[in-house]
Amino acid sequence: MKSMMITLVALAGASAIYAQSNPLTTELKQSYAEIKGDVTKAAADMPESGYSFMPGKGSRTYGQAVVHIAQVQGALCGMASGSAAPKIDDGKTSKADAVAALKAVFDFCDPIYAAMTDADAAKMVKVFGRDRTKFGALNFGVIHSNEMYGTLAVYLRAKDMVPPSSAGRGNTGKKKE
Amino acid sequence: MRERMTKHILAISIFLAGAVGLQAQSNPLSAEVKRFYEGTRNNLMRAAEKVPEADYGFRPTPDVRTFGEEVAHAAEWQMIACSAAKGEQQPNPAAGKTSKADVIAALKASSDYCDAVYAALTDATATQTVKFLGRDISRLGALIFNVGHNNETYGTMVPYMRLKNIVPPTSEPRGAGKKQ
Repeated sequence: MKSMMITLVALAGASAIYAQSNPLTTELKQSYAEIKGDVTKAAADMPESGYSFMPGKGSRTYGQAVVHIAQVQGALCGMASGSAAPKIDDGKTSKADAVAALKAVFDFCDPIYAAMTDADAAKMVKVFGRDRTKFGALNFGVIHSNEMYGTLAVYLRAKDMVPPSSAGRGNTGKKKE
Repeated sequence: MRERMTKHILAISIFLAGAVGLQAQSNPLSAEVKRFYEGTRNNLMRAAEKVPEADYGFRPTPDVRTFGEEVAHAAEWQMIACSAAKGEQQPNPAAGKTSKADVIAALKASSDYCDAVYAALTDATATQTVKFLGRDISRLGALIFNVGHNNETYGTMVPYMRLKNIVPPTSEPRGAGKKQ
């Protein structure tokens, strides 16, 4: 929950003029920035030895989960912008490779989110072969990363680590994830 | 992994394709958000129903919520976000609830409430400002927050289910194959 609270604080701190003229995309950009920060930190915090960890049969390893985030986020940014997303090798799940994949995808996505305006939001783009709004495509990237971050947080807790969105509250007591 | 991703994406595409055409054409943004909401609402409810009562007290590690507390948490925050979007405050339907039946009832109550709020949303009302946790935010922003929080909570529940050898709802068509 702290993560979402921080998002709200960030939302409140937005550039007022821009937010007034582009309220929807301003919030989308802030949500993207927040989840990008959490996912990037979660990927960096887990040691290499934890990248092969999976908490239960049928789960992804931590490394596979990070790469999956990169793949889906990149694919959606590519569809929203009509440009080619970075190619992610899903067989490369070491910490160094997964972190690099994530960075490549966020570097690709950053200007796509940054360029969004409310006027663009309702423009239609192809998302997995279907006509969807550009806003929907980019929002999908955020909420998919939200889902996967929720999963990563449990892996981190299982390794006795505090997820980034809970940092500052110590390692005791109930938390958001 | 590529095959898994393809299947995952196909499942999402089908979910996205469940659009109501006319509403989507005249209110593309709010129609989009409603579809996202419905997907996360259904995933949460299916997960809550799928985990047996005996596992509602399970937590994979000491510093996290029990599964039942996760369901209650989702119910509470759905009500907070949706009532803010509507411009009112509603009590936590999960307060003091711990049994499977009770927290599922709370989740359903919050979803029923949210359903009406999302149904009333149009692109014209989406940009109206509402108070959310004391701050000004667009109505759409509050409802997108809810979708994101629902999805994060669902993502948290997934390892709980895997640790109990339960296939998460979003992985059901692929049986016990890898997903999350």
